[in-house]
Amino acid sequence: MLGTLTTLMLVAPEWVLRWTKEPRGNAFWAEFVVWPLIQILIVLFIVLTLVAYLVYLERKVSAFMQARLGPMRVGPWGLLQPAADGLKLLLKEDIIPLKADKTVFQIAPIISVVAALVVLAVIPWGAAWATIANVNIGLLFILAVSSVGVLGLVLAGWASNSKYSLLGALRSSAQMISYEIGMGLSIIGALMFARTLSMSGIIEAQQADGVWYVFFQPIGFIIYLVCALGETNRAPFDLPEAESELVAGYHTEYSGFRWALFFMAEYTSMLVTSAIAVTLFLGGWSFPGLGLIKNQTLFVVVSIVIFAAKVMVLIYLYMWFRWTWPRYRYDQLMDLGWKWMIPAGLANIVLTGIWYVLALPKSRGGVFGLMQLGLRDRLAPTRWSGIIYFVVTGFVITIPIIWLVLAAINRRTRDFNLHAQRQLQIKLRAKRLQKHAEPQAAGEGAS
Amino acid sequence: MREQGVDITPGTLFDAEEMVINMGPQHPSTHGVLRVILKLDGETVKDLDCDIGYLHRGVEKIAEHDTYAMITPYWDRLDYVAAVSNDLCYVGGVEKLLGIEVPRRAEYLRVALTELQRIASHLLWLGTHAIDIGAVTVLLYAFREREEILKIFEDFIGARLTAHAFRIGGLWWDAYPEFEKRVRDFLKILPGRIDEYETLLNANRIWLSRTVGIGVLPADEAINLSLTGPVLRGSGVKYDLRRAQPYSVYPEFDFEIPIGENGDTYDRYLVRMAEIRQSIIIIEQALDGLPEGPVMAKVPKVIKPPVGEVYFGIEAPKGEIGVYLVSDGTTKPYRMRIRPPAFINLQSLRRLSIGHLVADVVALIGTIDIVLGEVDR
Amino acid sequence: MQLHGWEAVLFYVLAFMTLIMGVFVISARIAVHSALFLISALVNVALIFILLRAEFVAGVQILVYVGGVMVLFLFVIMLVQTRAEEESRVRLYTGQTKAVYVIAMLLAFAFIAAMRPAQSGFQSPDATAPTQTSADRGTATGQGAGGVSEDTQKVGSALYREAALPFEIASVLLLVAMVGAVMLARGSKQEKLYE
Repeated sequence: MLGTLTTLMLVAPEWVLRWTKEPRGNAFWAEFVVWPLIQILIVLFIVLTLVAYLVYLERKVSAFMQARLGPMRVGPWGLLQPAADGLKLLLKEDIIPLKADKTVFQIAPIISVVAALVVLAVIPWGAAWATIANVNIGLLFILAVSSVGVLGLVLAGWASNSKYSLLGALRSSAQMISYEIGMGLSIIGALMFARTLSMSGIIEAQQADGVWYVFFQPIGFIIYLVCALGETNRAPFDLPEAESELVAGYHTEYSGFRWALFFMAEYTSMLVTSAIAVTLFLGGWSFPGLGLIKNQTLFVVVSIVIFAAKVMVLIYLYMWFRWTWPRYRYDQLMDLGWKWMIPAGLANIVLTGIWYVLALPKSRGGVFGLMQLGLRDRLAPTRWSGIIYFVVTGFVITIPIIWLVLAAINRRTRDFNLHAQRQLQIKLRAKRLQKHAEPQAAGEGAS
Repeated sequence: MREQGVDITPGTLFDAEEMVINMGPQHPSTHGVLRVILKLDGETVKDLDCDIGYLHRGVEKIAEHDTYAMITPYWDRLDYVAAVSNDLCYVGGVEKLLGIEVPRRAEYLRVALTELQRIASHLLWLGTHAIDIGAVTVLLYAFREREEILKIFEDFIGARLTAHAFRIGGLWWDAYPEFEKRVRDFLKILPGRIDEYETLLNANRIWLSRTVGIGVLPADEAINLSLTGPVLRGSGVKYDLRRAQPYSVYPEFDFEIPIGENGDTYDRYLVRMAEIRQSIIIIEQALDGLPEGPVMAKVPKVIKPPVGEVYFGIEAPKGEIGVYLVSDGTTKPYRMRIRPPAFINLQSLRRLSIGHLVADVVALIGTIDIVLGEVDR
Repeated sequence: MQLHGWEAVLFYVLAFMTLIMGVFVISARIAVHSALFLISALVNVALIFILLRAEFVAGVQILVYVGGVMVLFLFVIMLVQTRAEEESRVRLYTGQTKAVYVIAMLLAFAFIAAMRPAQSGFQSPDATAPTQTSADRGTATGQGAGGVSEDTQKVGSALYREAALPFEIASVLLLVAMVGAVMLARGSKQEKLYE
């Protein structure tokens, strides 16, 4: 069954081919122009609506967490709220600051949104024909285009002709770049097992191995989640765009639909980073028991539903984090990115590599011989013994070693051991009081 | 250092050594119309100046032209977050001037209401402090509890926020029949809710990173700056007017004065959380020992105190609020001076912020707990 | 390799765009606009890479060059506020411009003339590449869909197997440069902070 799926990886379903073959009779045109266009339109429409409803969902989730109801007036249960918001934003006056660079001011949100939306083409929404483009460098493509999104931010801050917007934009983008590095490092561990950068290929690999890579790479998953929070400027890393801060964010001067575009870009990148996490670590659209469905179309539809459900779980996590935790200060946030996430990512790569090489078959120089040739001549862990080996090393050995590495690097940071910090301060204060108590033996103030 | 607006220098942003930045008067985190002028070196605060007076309404001057009873509602509007305790300060001062003894039932009810107001004020402080640092949900949870207290106030006194609760000589009305039951029901659920807040914040790494070691104020400096209230107690000075200069019936209650160890923002947070719990204990004791009797003393229709002056201070949620009344024998005071705790505590902002980063200034304004109505009067 | 059909058209379009963007880089008045045109030029180069079936290099080009280097360029340009200077510049095109065009044309002709005899060296030895049309490639289940791309494999083995030592040395050199830059940029105040 797996073989059939790989054959069908991109091909349009038969009914589409039949429909388009009639007028043109050209397989190329049907498969590479008409069908992808239909796919693109469907995905764009669904994702843009979904993004609007993600805003609604955030308001509802936050409301229920905060013992209130959220939007309730517009439509039943407030379901038409996104439509009302969108309409309002579209009808607002288009204000461009006086001395702003007009062209760049207009281009910046477009760059942000386009960079966020282009990525949707390579995300494996489901099996077979539910991916628009199964590029063999899918993951690299996503990372590359996401990094172009940073440009939109920087240009927006500059084009607003305000010193504070510029500073806020530079801080935001510095944060995004730092966490992008962490993201890139954290996924390499999972890629060692998948042996391909293609998104569908990674899901196939997890199916073939029989286990989701989150069990092999728990630390990689956690690092990825934290870096994704930092990359998308979400709490607890949203200081650059918090309302109570002094330096205004990059989108201060934007109003109306341009601001909505930035917002859309942020939520779309939230969606995309969740989709990457689901693909890489949580098995994408695969689920144990999915193979029992024999009908091709039903298979693909169910796979889309499974993927959507997993992505929604992660997005709920994002929202949960935002409304529960306070936010980090900017220097603490950069500290976390550079001195905790990146070393942990690097250590994860080294350790995963070590376990991988140790488990190679004896013929290739390994010690334990817990791998065998699998899909597409790829080395995969043997059923159960190899899998247990990787799970155990991933959880039991990797996590303590990485913790020790991080502790060693950060032991002298102020925030590292806050308990010890407080004890130290208590001691210092006692010493200070002693110094004061001696000369003023008769003083009564501090007793 | 007084600077208006910001100095935009040509050249690069690296050139200017120091940047002068303006925060407020309209700002989500200054808890009112407070303008803070910061002199920054990069992100570090080099100097700070507060520009206040945006909410100055001339209350002390108005008091010279109003009779003693007419002045009482003005006191609600000072620290509008904790109106009931402000009233206690003023009517206590006038009663001291007149030499009136307030009936015991009234005193007990006053204590119960004042401590309820202390809880409400600390809840609002907690919510706004948390949201300034980023924990939005705590604000809504705290307001959920505060809502209960305000409903009790509304049913007893008639208003929620600026409740003209006390009158010279006692209370206007006696407690309504379900008052005791409602307060006890509320006090039953409150400790669980406080535990909820503490679960969210006390051990949270991010909260600790943002509050531990921020704004450390040693005890001697706190005393030198004339600070009072939780800001002083957070620095380790066990000074609470309810014990140091007892008033009303507080000597009859058994409660503790929580103090902090280091004088940082985290300690001040812990002190206020502990004070809420102590207030719960006081209210329960007050309700347990509530005597019967009248709630209003025999007060002359026209209040003409003898010539003299009096100072009366109480422990408000923000610190020591006091009234200094000078009477010249007429129905209107010659001078009424308010000792505003928030105004005096705000002066420590400069000492606290210098050396910290800009993002900490917001946390420090929150930890001092100011209300501009009191700062500006 | 010889490009046929749509690929040739695409190549000429992309090459033309790259060159035009390059010209705009140096002729734009505002520095940030220059940087934006440079970004366009780099993205066009990445697309040409894809055309040459070097997808990995294209992806890395965008990731590193556009997403990293150009963003940092923009940082520096924005922090050095040159707006006043730019707007006050009145004469952008001086008599030198004509001379520049003439010399650039001469250089281009010289380049093409020098390249002609060397073009035979660019023909790739394997004859299979030009015969594979795009229609065939897409539906095959071979290397394209799901497997490791040839380009990634080639780059990987070149960097980590054949030229591993120079790669590591280059990495160390970059690390030294980074550490040196951080040390130089750190002011004396920050030095005291860390003591």
